[in-house]
Amino acid sequence: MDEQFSLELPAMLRQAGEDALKKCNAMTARFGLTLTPAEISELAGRQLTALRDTGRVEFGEGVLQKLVHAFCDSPYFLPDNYAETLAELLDAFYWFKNESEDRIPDDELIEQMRAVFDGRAQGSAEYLSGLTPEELSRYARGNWDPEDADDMGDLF
Amino acid sequence: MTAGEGLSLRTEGLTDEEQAALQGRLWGLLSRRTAQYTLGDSSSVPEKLAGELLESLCFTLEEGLEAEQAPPRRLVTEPLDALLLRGQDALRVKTAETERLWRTACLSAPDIDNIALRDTLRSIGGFFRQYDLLFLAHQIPCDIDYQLLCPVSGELRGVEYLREYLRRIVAENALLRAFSGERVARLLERSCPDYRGLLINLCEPVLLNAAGLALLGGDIGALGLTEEERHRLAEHLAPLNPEQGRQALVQAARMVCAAAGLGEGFAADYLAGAAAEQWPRAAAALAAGDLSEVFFSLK
Repeated sequence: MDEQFSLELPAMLRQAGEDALKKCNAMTARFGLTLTPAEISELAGRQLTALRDTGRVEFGEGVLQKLVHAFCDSPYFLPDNYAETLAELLDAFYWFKNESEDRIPDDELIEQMRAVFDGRAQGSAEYLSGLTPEELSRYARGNWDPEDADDMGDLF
Repeated sequence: MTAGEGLSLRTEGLTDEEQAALQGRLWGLLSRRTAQYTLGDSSSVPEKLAGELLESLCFTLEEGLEAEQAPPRRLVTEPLDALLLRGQDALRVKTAETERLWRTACLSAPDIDNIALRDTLRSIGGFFRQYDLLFLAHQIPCDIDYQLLCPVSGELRGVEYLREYLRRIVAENALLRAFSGERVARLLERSCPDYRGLLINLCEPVLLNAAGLALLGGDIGALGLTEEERHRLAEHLAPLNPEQGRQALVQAARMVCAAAGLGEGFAADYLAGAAAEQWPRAAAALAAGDLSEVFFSLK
């Protein structure tokens, strides 16, 4: 008898991911950011959708926690839009991974996303999502001055 | 995330519970192997890559079981990493054996200028540099264009496939080299004037003609059949039903192998089986009343 094996994330690991996200609340609370159980569940579902939509498979603890850790002290992360912004960053993350053909390591990509999010994107995950990986890397490397935004061809 | 669907690992005798446990164990192993593959740089990979890594794991684990003649239950009773290492060891041995076979195939290749055979053997040489036994063991990183008498089963993967392909090439080479090169060239010229450039099997007309002569009790080494010999062969084959026809070709091929000094090992079995596969062609030619495009003359 042949048994088929799939790449579906085992339910046990999905739960472990949600539990880990709950633990992040302790760390983000000092920035006034917490996720409700409903938001955590929604984010976990959003992650599965994002992975499916981008044709990727994730192992280990997942990238959501890394995003929380990397972005929680961003001045643009507000309690009202915390969960939604995280979800948008998650989508952007997988999109950049695919578009760069996995050439940018996770940690480096998150670092670049944070630099541009706080700089040129001025907290807009939507703006971030509109960049190519090359633009992201270039903008992350360059110094962004909000006073020169017009000269730099920004949307803002 | 459904790229893994369709992948399989033999799990005979495992209960549903054990199979569910195995799924979890495999996921854990795949997770560790993916981290090694990406050097820890990425917690996610494209589904296609994950599917390839999983297929390689399943293939290597099967090798590990086979090496110890172990039942599938081992998949849930011992650490998969250990079984994987044993599978990799078994594959290393097979790869070394396959490389020796490749050298034999190159050294025994007939002195016939056939582009597909030459390019295929050259490309297989690159396999031993490209083969990723650790992560993509099921893949065959070389171009195999040359058509065998009997194709290797598509179920074989990685070095297993290549080893079987080369065993068959060596058997075919041995038969071709048993005959005069000049006669073989003339026969190929008759059966396929562009035998140098087309994707054809060089051994097929040689085996069939020699088998035809063997059935008539003629001089196998002559390789060509006269009109009169073809007529006698038609009389010999016409009354046979398909099973008898296949058997006749098998026996004839064994006589050819004996005459060629191939003994009774793998080569003789393979060539006899290949000869049997030619019966439908012979039967169709018999029905059409013309064997000249199956059993060739050299003139």
